[in-house]
Amino acid sequence: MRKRLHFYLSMPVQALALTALAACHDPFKFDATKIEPQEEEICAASSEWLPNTPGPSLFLPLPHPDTECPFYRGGWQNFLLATQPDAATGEPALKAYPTIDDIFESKTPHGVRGTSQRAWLGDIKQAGGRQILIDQNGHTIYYGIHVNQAFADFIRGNGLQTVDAIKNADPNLFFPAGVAEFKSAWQEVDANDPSLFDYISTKAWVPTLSQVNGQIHEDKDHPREITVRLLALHVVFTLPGHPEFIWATFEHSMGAPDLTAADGKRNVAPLDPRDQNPSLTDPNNKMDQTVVSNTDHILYHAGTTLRDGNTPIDEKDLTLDTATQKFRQTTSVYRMFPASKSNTTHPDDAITSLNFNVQTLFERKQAELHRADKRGHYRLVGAVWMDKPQFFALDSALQNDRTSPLIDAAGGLKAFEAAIQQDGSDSDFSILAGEDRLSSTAMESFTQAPVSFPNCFTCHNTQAITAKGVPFNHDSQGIVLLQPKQLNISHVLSQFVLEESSPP
Amino acid sequence: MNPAALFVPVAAALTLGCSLLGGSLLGCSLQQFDADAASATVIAPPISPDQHTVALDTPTIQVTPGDNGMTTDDACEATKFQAMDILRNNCAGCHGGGPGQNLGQPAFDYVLDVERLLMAVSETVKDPKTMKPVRFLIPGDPDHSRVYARVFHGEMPPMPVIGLPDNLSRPTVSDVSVIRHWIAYCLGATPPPVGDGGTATDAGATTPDGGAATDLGDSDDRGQTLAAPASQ
Repeated sequence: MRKRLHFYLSMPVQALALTALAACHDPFKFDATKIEPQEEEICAASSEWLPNTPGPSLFLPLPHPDTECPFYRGGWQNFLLATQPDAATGEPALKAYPTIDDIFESKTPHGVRGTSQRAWLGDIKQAGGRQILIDQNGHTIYYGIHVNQAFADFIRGNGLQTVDAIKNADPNLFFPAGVAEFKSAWQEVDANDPSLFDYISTKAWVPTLSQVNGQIHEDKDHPREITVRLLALHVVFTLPGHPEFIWATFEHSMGAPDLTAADGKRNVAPLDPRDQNPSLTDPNNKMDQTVVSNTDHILYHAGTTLRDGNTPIDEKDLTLDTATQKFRQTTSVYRMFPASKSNTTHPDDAITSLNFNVQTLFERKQAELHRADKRGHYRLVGAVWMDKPQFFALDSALQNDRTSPLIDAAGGLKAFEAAIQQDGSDSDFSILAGEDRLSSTAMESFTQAPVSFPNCFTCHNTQAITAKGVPFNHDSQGIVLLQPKQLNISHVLSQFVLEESSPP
Repeated sequence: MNPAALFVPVAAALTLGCSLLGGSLLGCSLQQFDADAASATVIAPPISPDQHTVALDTPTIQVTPGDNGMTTDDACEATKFQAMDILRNNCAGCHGGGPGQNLGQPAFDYVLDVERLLMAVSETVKDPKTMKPVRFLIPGDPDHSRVYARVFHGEMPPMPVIGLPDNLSRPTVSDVSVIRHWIAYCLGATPPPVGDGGTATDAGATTPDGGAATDLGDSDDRGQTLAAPASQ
């Protein structure tokens, strides 16, 4: 939450300002008023987070105007926990976390995941538009969905292991505090790639891809084993009073100092170079030919303009070489909202402070870390949650839009929209907190625009959900997988229902 | 007069003057001045990395807002406080023990008395599995705690009926989530989960065979206090 410094001109200062106007021909002496130094918002890391990260304590943090720090801290701690290297193997803890294959009962028996009988990663078509992201080497990005044991226990404890059970689940059932899910984005690299020194990496079984009548198919039951490195991770967790989950996301960094994306160390994708958010008149940046960056990034081709970036390629126009499992085409992605906020390009000070403190913690504990510990090469991008979780309810859009329950309180739709436009998620009338334009460039690459799915809750809410993994009101022609449920906030269940509904 | 009102014309004049004089060329500019706003916002330069404050100690939990608000190092202390607040706001109006706050047959007037809740059982409802009276509050087991189950299922507070106060405050899903966590982990039976995939965790928000959940026809909470839960 940004602290804004408002100032008022007293009479003497006005006189000074008028004098300054008169002296305006002197470029070095103009100063309308003194700019006060920015008050630092401190968000602490915890020294006990390293080298072996303990589980987070669960409590309900206060809403605005109190600090957002506890939510961001929860994100970092859950990240560190899920990517903790195993003492013996060095593998990230996430690799042993339950997956959809583990927690549900498929009607079609399949092999044990993570073996030559069943892929561990996959699901290459992104949520929203089911588009395919392709890196600059022609490889697609492989995704993983994992949950913690509390999530797995919840599924089992409520008998939700089958499609029928999920469809018939009590619509008012909600996720209790302490459950977490993780969506990860992995890039295929050579096993001897020197960059692996800076990345969380592993060997992974991924689906074999094929193309039939233009459509890309994934065969999870005949996977191939490759080396992958982690580009980005969604860390999604509940707290008491927050059944909507706190949705945090992390991305790779080339290293310290890296407190914000503007430090230039984020190498997955560049930022919009204009330091501005998309305009209302050009919300997709389709009229702007500014080159985003002249430097190649993992998911961005140097020289791509704003207009041409973040543009998916129709499946029928893709050409897959089945032998190499590479596409002839590549996509080029950049971050549309530099700070992942609708009303500013200035990153939240709490995130900056926390990234600084975690970075400092890694420096101080370097000698104690496992040699395979690469967690310090990632940074928190942002998080979004409900500032007013009392409005979490069945069949709700959970957005600061025309569906908001606070429109009347704001004095009508116009006043409400003006307030949100001015202050974004810091507005008194925002039901959301944190980064209300939060996307991962590696996972929601093509849906960042404000007219698409610009934050997690645009897809993840309690409305009916369709086969595209989006709420029915965004896909009214789509096939409804699940009727409105509070559990629809997570797409782990709907993803299983989708997989079970799809032809093999 | 609001001094901010003076600022707008002055600053506008400055802007115009600077513009006429080639202000941007001369470096004559205002810091992010918004002439449409009633006041201006000054964004100070970002803090450089070497100016950040190192903070590596776990912050205390703020339980109530404000500089003088209540804080604690114990997450369960915060949850207990919040849970009691929810019971106070949504249940105590009828069951809090104050004047007129003893509705139910027999009277249920101790919803804010945790010790009594821990001892109390329903006089009329039995767990279909154990055939023992349903307990009001079972540490570590919200699904079989009547206080939780009736709220989760929307039975309490009751829908408007003659003889009961109108416009009863109802707990939100968020509130119910807090109550659940309090019963599951903060009444001393089970340590809070750590979410690392290895420890016992809260399995969910309801169970199909939960004893309290089967009692849908009972319109009032009826309770009695026993000496010890173990004997029930």
